[in-house]
Amino acid sequence: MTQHQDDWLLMDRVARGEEGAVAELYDRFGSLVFKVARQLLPTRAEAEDAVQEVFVRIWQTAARYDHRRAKLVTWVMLIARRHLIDRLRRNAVRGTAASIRADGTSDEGERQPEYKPLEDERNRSLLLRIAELPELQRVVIERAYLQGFTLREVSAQLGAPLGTVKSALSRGLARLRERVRADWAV
Amino acid sequence: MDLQRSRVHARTLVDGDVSQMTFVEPMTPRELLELASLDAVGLLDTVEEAVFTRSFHDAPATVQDEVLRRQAEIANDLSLLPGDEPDPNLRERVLKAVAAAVEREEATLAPLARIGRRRSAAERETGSSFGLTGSGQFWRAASFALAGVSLIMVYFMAVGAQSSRELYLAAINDDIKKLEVLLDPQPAQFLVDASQKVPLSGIAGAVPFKASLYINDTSGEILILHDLPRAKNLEYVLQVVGKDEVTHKLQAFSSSGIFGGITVKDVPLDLIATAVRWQIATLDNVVILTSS
Repeated sequence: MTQHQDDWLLMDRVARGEEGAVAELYDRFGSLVFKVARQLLPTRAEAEDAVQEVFVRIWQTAARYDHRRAKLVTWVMLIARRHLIDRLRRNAVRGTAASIRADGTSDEGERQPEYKPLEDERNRSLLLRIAELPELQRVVIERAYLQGFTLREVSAQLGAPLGTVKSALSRGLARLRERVRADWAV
Repeated sequence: MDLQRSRVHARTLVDGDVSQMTFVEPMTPRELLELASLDAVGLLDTVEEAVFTRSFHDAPATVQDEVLRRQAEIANDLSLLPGDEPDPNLRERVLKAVAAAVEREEATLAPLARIGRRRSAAERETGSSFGLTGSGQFWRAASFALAGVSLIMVYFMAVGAQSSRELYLAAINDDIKKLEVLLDPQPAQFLVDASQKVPLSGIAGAVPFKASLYINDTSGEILILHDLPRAKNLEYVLQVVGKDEVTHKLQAFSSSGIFGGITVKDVPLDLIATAVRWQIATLDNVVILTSS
């Protein structure tokens, strides 16, 4: 049986509410979901609450998983990110225009008080690398990728065409991944 | 309107530039690959995501594989994530949260369908599943029936029925007279006259799609309601297995990728009468849905 088929069967068991299947899913993706929650939410406690909500959401939507459309890790992380962004919006935690300086700190004047970049070596390195990106790529990544604004919102905030914002995000993420990977490979 | 402009400009793409990538027409393979990362992190809006998905299904297998690979790589990439690890007891909290959600769903469904039996305390103690033992199985059956009803309603809305709300209520209450009044004549005929209503489900429960057959065994007509995915070159075949275990292919059909209904006519009445199993297969003979 292929990994795809295994994943499909696993999600079928999750949809049925099998405890063992949910446990297996958590063992595979729990750490990853927690990390993205930790990146987007201001406190560890909030991140842990959000992870629980994400797995409930995954159970609710498990029957819709289509292994031909996405690998399981992609699908799980997509649900996680969407849920976390919804949560950010609900709680109005996101900064309206937080800006990261080259030293990795955020612009106090432009963000809301709840916005606190995670004190973590990897995250600090990431923020430094983001700060080094060309202006447009940097701002778009901060706002869309880290703060949960939609691309249309970012486009309106910057007065830039939507396609330009997409392009900047796509290129910025690729460049960022390349640089951060190189940092951690050393 | 961005979308209108992009319809004009979508083909002005220059090498490596995704600046005009707001699509209302199918994406090319290169466009799919360019936007794969944004789709993977949930940054396409609803319309774009729908176009991306449609274009993905139409793309050559090699492009699909590459999109899947790129997206999985991004989703799995730890380089953009913090190094924090979850507390070990989070696993238990997650399992409890899901278990509670399953229980809540059962409790919500219970008043709607007072069937089945309560699980004993001993069963609850020893059960390895969060739910769906005992009465849960009945709730699941009830859910399936309701899902079937929703399929029907989508179909009827598509053919221009008058009031989806009224239809929904009539359908879940099995109010045939009301349905006769509300429905257009042809689909009503199937619901009212169908002598068999046959739910089809995935082999080994592995397929996340559903279909129901409404079979009129006097006119030889069958209404197929389904939510099968749309995929290029992937057509489906309704077939029936007789007592002699011989499979008879009845009609090929395709799916638009949303809930839909197809009418099959002139099905031999002896096949209907002697049917052992109804199936939906792909054109290469892989059975994906079957009756029990």
